[in-house]
Amino acid sequence: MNIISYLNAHLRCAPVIIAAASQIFFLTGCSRIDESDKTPDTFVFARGSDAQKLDPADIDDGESVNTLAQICEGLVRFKSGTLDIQPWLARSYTIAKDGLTYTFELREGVRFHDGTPLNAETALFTFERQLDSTHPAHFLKASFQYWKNLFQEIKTVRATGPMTIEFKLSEPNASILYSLATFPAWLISPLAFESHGEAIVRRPVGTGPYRFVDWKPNQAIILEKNQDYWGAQASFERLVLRTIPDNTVRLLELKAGNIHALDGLQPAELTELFDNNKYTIHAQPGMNVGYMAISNFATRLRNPAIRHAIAMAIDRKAIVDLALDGFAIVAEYPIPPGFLGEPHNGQPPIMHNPDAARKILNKYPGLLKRPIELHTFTAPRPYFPDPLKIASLIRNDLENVNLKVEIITRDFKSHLVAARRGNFELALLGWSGDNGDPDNFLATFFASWAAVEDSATNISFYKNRAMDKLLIAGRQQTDLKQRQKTYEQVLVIWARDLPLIPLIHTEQIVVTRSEVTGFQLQKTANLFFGPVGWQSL
Amino acid sequence: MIAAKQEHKLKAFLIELLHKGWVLLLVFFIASAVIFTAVNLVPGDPVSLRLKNPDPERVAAIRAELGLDEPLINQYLHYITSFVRGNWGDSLITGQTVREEISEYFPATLELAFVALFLGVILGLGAAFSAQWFKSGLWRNIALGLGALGLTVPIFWLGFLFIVVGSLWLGWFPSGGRFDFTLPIPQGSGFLIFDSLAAGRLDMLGATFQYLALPVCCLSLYPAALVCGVLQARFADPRLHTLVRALRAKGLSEWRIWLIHVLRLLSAAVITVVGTNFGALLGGAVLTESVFSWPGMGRYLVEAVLNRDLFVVENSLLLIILLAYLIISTADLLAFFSNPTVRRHSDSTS
Amino acid sequence: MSRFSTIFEYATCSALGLSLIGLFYTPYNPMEQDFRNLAFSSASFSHWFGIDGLGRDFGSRLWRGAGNTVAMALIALSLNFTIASVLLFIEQSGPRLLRRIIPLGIGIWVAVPVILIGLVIMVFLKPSVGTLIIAVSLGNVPLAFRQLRILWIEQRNALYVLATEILGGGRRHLLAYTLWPNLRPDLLGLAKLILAICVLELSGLAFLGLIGDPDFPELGAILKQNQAYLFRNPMLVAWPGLILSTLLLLVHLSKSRSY
Repeated sequence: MNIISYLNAHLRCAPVIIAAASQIFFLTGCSRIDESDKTPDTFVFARGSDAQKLDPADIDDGESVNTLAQICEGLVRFKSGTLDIQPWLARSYTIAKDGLTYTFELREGVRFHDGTPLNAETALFTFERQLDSTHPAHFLKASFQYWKNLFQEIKTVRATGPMTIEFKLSEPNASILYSLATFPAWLISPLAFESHGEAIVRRPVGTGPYRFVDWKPNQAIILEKNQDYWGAQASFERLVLRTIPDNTVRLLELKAGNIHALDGLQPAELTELFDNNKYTIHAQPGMNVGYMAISNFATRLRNPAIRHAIAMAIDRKAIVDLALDGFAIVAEYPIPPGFLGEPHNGQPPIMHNPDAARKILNKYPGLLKRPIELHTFTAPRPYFPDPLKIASLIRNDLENVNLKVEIITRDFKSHLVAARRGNFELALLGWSGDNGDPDNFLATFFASWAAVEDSATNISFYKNRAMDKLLIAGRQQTDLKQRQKTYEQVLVIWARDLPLIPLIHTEQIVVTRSEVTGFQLQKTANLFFGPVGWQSL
Repeated sequence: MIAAKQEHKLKAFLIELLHKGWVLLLVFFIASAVIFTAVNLVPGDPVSLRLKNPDPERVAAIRAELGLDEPLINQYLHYITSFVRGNWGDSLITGQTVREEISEYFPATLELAFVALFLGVILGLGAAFSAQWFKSGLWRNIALGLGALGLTVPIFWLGFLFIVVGSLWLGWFPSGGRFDFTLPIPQGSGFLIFDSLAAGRLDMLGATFQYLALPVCCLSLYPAALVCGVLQARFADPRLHTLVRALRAKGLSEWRIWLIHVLRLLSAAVITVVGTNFGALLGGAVLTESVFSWPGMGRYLVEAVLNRDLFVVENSLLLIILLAYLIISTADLLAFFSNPTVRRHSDSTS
Repeated sequence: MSRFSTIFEYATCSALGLSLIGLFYTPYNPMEQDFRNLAFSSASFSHWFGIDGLGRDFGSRLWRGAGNTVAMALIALSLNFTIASVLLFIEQSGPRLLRRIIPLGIGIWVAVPVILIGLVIMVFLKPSVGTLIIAVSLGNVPLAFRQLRILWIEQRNALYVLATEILGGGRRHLLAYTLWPNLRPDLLGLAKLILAICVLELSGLAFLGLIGDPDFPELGAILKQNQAYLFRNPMLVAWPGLILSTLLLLVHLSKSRSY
């Protein structure tokens, strides 16, 4: 009885509600971002997925890194747009002659967002918690993966003065200074840990131009201007990092004026914006490589002749054109172009030649007994904006040389698990460089110590002593010419055995409104909004 | 006499309620057992999946902390007791408590589903009644069209149409997301309509409705079609026309006849069809969320399943199943008591 | 109404038939990327629906896609009916305990949205066409079971059945000549309803990317694969949806109004 009258009552007011609602729509207008000349209070950036957590020491996804890039800073940083080191929270640094001691002189007058002053003691916290597994902030659930990969030579870190800290290395490593500019070495406040404990992984406190305010998971992370910033003040009162998973929706939100910049679009979706002077497309070759690994456990694909035939069959130019609309280049080597070790002369080792490939493969009828498994994944990664499309193209190329291929699709996490066990025949994967050093690519792909089941980054499980020796030598050499030679040799061995076939180097793409100033793409693919401003057209 | 009638009604209600409660318990045990088995049958250890560099010691330590090294039966008991206590563990991916996360995502889905349901029922009622009332071909065709649209156009494709028309061509509505974050965020229950009303901010309410508009319209066509279909079937019943004629003879106005007497008579059917299809509506919400980038349970759950986020899968699936069951039973109970014929029937048997 | 129903009945049958032909014949191979140099070209005399982004004849993909969608839905439907009938048989003639448990189980089952059932199945089966079919057919078992049960009980207790029984009709005679002709139209209606639901849910799950092979021509999967071209080549997104809606509309219009 009551229900009925309730329902009736509701039905009666329905027209009123609808009228009121429609009035609200039109009162508030639709594009809520000011079209007028003045700088908006809030800068809104949208991306495809949300950050996973906000602890610089324990993240591996770009979204988390790019959130922290506004909040935290390191002792040194890459000079904007380059791979040159620039002192940052450290005023200066010195490296001892033996290459085993690094000393940093900290900048005066810098404060964390919670008011903690930056000094040797507070700076040490970030490093000690990663180095010392008994440290209270060495959280059990964190993996500290990057510390293990990039900083394994650091033996101790200590304060040698009120504003100086010193790292001692167990053996020389040419790339450690560069690694110190990457996100795992960004400083966080020890006071925040004392007052919030493990919750700091969701509420970071750094020294950067913006400070953390609120996080609505899968919707937005809200930051506000750090009024006490030691450097140039940010231009916007608030910075909002929105999560909009669907590419179409994200693009439309940009066109509707609800957001000011975005990333993660597929090149195919950009064509609309090409001739539109309201938007600027920032694109530059990224420090990455997307590749197809050939598992060492796939015995029928062990023969290098077969591997070369497969490599020759794949039309990588078609991948660049059809799957990436030209926003990529063909990868000739497993390191990005311009890296130390790239041969400067001679023909690239892999040339597209399906006829020759067919001829070779005809000699191995055993390959046709069952389809070759090509493993791929669903979610876009920076090195493969659409891994499914790339798998489709490769399958078609391989079927054109009379092979049979079955595509196996998984989500990214499950794909990684299979890949890290070498549990595939062919698998698509990629790597984005951290510190601009060839070791960061080549040792990752080819070192036998990176071929440990369940955590392998050498997912081909390629093991070769000569290769290992060269990689260790390259890591410890400091003379550039010598290193160049070492890595050239590494690439010769790679081209002979072909444990993986490099496919493409994709471009990093960020679209901003044309009013946005001061935005600069970085080699590391980090996004820094601190210097971003607004200039009306 | 009236007192006796009331007492009888109460008794029937209690019996029905007891039955529903008993089945709810069964649902709880069966569903939790099935989910638990499914999650534990899966190959791939959730803990080593989580770590990028899983060394065995670390994995063992984390497993021990999470209680994953105990016998399965203890784990199951722990699972159901802590579910009841509302202690749902932490997400293995984000490290946040599952309860906190669900309290972020669940209100978003529920707000979408309930507003769509509300709008759908209104649309369905409106179309069916207009077709009946005005007897014109136009209205009848609208009603038929609505019924066909809601049941035959795939919701994900309809979503694209709505985005193209409502957002690209007309530019009236944002194409996705849930709130305009240049405004301060309404805090509180997570239901943005209530929160912005509580904050007394019209601009927040406006933004909320603007972002709700397209997904809600898209999702509401399905319940609208169901309601419209059921009503049209009932309107074909000749007994209804006898009733209408009798009421007209009593001298009641058309307005009163249709919107009070007939609607009351048909409300049971509407409630039943809405209730039994609530599960399908939630399914549609998952697709709608995917198209409109709505930050709800759908994406959360799909990602949790794909990433083997143990506690999230166990607890949120169970929660949704229980909720769907609760809504279906509530609809049953409501239908039972809102239909005068059902009530009279049970009266006469006593 | 009945005249229209018949027309739509024929239209539905021919549309389903036409779709199924796509399984055996298409003008070009829908999987071969033979026209990579023509990618994104619009409709022409030799390619009526143009070429998709990977250089395949889009018309052929749509035709095979419609065929696959219909075939998958038909398989899901038969699987679903089989399971529901077996359950009904057990419930009607099995031991007492089962008679009580099965309706209760169905009552619980109905509370779980099909998409969630699909997700739970995905937890332990890898995404593939077969998994999708299993998820969809299992998800709709409660609906089929309940409707079949109503039909069966209605018919079983009807007076004319009783009369035939009294007249000494055997079991088989009863089933073949008395029950079946009366059950048939209702069963057909139910089949159409479930077929439509299966098509919708299959394409929905495929759209969510749970079909495994990204190139498998299925209308929802085709739509998903071309989603990035919504602005650049809207027809690549429009056609799969239009075909799906047309198929479903025909099925909807041809089924009897009682559902």
